Amino acid sequence: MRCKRLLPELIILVLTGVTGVTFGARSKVSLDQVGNQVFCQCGCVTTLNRCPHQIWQCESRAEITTIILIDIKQGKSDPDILHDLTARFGVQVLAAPPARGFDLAAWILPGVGLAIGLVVVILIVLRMRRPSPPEPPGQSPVDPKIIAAVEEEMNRTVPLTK
Amino acid sequence: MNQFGSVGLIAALAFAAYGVVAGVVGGKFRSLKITRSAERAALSFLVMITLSVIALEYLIYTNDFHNAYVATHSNRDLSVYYKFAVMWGGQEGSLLFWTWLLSIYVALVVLLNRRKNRQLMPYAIAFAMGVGVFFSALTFFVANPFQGLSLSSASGMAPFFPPDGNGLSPSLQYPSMLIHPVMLYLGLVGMTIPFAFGMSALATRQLGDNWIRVTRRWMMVPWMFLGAGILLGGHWAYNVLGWGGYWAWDPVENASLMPWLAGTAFLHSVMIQEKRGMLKVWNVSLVTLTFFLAVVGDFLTRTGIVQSVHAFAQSNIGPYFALFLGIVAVVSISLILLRLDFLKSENRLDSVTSRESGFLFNNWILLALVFAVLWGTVFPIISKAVESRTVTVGPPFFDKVAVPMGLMLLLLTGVGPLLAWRKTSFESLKRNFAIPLAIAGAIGIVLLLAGVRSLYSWMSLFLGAFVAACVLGEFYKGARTRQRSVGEGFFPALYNLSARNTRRYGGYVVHLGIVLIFVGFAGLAFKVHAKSVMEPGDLMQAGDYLFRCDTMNAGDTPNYTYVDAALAVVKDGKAFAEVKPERRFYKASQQPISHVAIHRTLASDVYVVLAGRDPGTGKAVIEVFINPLVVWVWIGGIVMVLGTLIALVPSRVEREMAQMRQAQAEALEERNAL
Repeated sequence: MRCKRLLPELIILVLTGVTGVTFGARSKVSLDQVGNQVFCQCGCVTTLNRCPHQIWQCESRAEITTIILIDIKQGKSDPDILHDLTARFGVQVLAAPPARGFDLAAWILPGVGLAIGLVVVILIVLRMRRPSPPEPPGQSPVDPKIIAAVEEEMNRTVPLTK
Repeated sequence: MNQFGSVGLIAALAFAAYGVVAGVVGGKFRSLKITRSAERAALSFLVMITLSVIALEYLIYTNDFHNAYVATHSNRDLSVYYKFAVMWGGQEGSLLFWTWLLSIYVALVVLLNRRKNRQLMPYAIAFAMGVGVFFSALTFFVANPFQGLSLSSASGMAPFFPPDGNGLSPSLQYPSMLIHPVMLYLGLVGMTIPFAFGMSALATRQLGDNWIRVTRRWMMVPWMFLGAGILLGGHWAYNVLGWGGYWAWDPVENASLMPWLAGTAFLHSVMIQEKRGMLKVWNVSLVTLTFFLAVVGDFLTRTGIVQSVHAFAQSNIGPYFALFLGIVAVVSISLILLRLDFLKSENRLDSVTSRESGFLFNNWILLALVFAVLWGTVFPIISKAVESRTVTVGPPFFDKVAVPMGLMLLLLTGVGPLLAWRKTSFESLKRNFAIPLAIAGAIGIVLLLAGVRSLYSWMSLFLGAFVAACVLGEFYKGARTRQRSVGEGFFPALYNLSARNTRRYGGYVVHLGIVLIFVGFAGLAFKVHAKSVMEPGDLMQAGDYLFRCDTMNAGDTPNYTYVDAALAVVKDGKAFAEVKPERRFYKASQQPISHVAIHRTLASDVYVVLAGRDPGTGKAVIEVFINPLVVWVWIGGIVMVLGTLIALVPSRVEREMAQMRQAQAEALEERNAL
């Protein structure tokens, strides 16, 4: 098993990570960051960081963690690490579908839905809207601005009756 | 007892079927006698399902492992409290539980409407009982919890009595698991009642204000339960799963969120119909969509069609759910189309800058969010069908897609209440928004100076401040006006103001709860995580906190073995707290689980997990998360429930109007009788 071959190196990497001899702030953050972007393949249906199993109990978590830590040590960026993981496990290791091919639809459609919804709301508003009634003839003894302000406040605070 | 439970189920199914027929006939021929018969069938449905529930609980509490469900989900040493949770720990029992809650809701509808809403009631019973037919049939024929275990032998099949059961899933053996599923089910099942009233209004052509008034409360109650259930689920995940968070965008979590969002949209748009007689098609469609999504959520959870940590095992009930959803869609869409002539708006929109428009935009974002969540949840299935490969749609996707929409909603939470019905002038907008914007702007600058650089966190806190200023300003202005006009003190004025319009001010309290929840979300950006292997005397640093392992213990109980570690937490050189995380191993299910130790303050949670023991050294693997502001999520949830309860209390004006309507209805009935 590849995971077992890599275990000694993994333990060294993890222990240096957890005992304070860190890879530097950026590396430490990247391990957590990448762990949030990939799914563990053990069947726990969660991201690597949330896998309920410990590294020594979960071959999948151990193998993915090993690849990430080695890549980090080699100075690879997050996208490069994700590329390596995809090459090893397939696209299902990613916690979000890649933005290409058919999977692009996953990213586009929520925006399209939002846009279509906006158009529908605007159409509803335009259809339901009516022009303001013309000013009634004659002079009001009270300043129209005051009447408008009172009406508005009444509309806002007092429930309307039909 | 297995036969007793099964007889209860089949009798319930018979009563439900009779309720459908009697409801339709009673409604069609306007027969009070037949309608009363349908109502009695609904009450009998409750009695029969209750007998089945009692039968199952009896089997669980007497450790009758001949029953397959009890053998699979319980064991002798399970504590008496958690034995109650066995009811919803598996597919069959939870279906029975769902049906039982439905029967309680329907019985409540019957009992509370003995003299009210007589025209709506026959069809409302028929539709609710139709849902009852589906669930009781499913429970009896497909997922029956009253199956006995048997072994094949030379002389044929013989009953099998295993000495002990497999036990309840350890993750369910946690106090909030006694409440969370109940709340969630009360929410999801309760969406049946507004749907039944909506369909009844369509069937009877009673599409005026009445069904809306009736439905609003029947929607608010399950909406409150569902919201509380979702948050309790988050609380459970936070306390039990040990990864330091409370929401993972898991398909089953999403399934509960979608009907809650659709219900929220309905509770807002319904006001436009009440006040202005507009959006009638929209409202009846929303009430249908909310129910539909509640059943879709159940479908996703129970069929194993999507991979989820919460889902029940794969089962054969999917096609039945699909058929039921198809029937619901066809019946409701047909009824809406048939009644379009009765669903015309009574008024026109006066201005784009009005509360009506505000609610429309709120509905737009809410439904776009529903669509985004649904799309993300089902995309793996679609991708597999189209490309024959599995993709995963998890937190990174939903964080990118849903969080911006959530922030837009938060903005509208503050804007909406400050818009007037019909029309708001520019002067009024300036007057109403100037102070909240100034307060939010000042807080935004302070946050930037304090080093808050995460855009989403900054936006959450900035918009939260804006909404809080808007809502609190409404309370202040209202109380001041009342103080001046009635001469009361400020706090009596505040109380009387809220009592006069509980719905409005309860709604504002709900909005404040949402602000607090977003404050909790904002803390996610400042999370600190550390992990170490420790033995007594070892130290670990996480953020500003120093952890010292003091002792480690191991123990044994009849139900599980455990190991725990006592850690002293030091902050700024002073003793801050002592925490004791625990790791349990349940004997019956042979599964481990962590019991997280959490030290809570309003500023942050110190969250400590004993993840296990290093196999080589025997040392404890300790994981620490410093989670800022998390407690505000739970406080926000409590405030939301409180606000909903306030809004549910009839205001003085509402009580007077209800009495008038009741008197009118009784007079009309008397006149018709003469």
